[in-house]
Amino acid sequence: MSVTMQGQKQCQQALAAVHAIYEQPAVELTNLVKRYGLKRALDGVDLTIESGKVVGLLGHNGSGKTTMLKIIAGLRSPSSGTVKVFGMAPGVKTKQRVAFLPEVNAYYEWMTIDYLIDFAKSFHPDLSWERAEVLKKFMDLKGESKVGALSKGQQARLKLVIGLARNADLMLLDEPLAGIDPPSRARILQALVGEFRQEHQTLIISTHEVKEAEPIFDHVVFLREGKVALQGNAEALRDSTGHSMEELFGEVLE
Amino acid sequence: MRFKIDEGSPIYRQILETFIRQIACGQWSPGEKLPSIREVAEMARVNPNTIARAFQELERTGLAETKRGEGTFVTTDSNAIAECREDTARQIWTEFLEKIRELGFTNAEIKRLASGLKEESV
Repeated sequence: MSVTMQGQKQCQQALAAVHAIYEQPAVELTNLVKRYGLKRALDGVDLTIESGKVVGLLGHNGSGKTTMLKIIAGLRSPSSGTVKVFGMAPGVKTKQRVAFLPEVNAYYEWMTIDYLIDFAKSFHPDLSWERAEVLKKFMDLKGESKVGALSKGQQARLKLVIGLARNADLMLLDEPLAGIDPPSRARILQALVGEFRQEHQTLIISTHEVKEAEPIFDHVVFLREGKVALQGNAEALRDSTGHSMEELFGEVLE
Repeated sequence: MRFKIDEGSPIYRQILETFIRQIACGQWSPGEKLPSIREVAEMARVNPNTIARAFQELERTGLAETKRGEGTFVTTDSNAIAECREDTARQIWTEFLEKIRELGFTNAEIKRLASGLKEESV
């Protein structure tokens, strides 16, 4: 075999491997149930999330959004049913490719922002300092500020800086807009749209503030009492129902 | 560039219509480079896949073309732009006629209005 032919063959194999990753769903949930005592937080969820999409996970408090995200992140195990993330059960391998941004802030208050980014890099080696710098500027945050002195909106923006600087294949964001001032919300949405790389990334964003966030979704999933009440492509739903996702939220979930 | 979005109908169509109108009224000149998908997505805070679809449809109208690795450009075909301008005008004209007929105006009255307009303007 000549050198060029061998090169071509290797190239084709590499491309096929990339396509296989891309075509594999980012997340597959089959008859997923999670019980807390007598309560069913998730009650038989079947859901496939394609790679390369921004997905809105919509529902009221207590509908099961956070539980679902934590199970996908591998932080909770299901009571029954199966979970696959990039074709694998959640574990050490998937955690390297998944970033979970919880709603609550879990950062040490005494750290400065730059110290915190260093600290985060020590257990997420994929975190890029260059990206963190750019995002920090965009989010209007100063490296020397102490975490404990930040406003709620600034803390939310900081969480996004650290999450987006990792450039993970699957990002799970739990209520990134809840209780935050409008300018911070606008910044966060703009950063999400600007940093999203559809070639390899998938975003799942839980929220009950649908109006502002809905233009960034490809796909929406409405959760009610641990069940999928409705799901579909956002543009197709707009076309077929003549309603916004916010209006559907009211209709489906009230 | 500002986009006013009504979330109750497909967003790609609204982005597409915005560009068509802007090209029709000469806000973008023939051959001019349009902003990238990512730039529009960030400005409008809309999913990049949605913007990509609007650009695909814009190409299909013949008003823009994408050069690989360079970006999307307004067509240099002035006939296509003139045609689009007429189409847009006709659309607005039809909407206007519907509204004014609802007021009970006859064709003669509309013509009288139009001739009056000619004298007072320009």
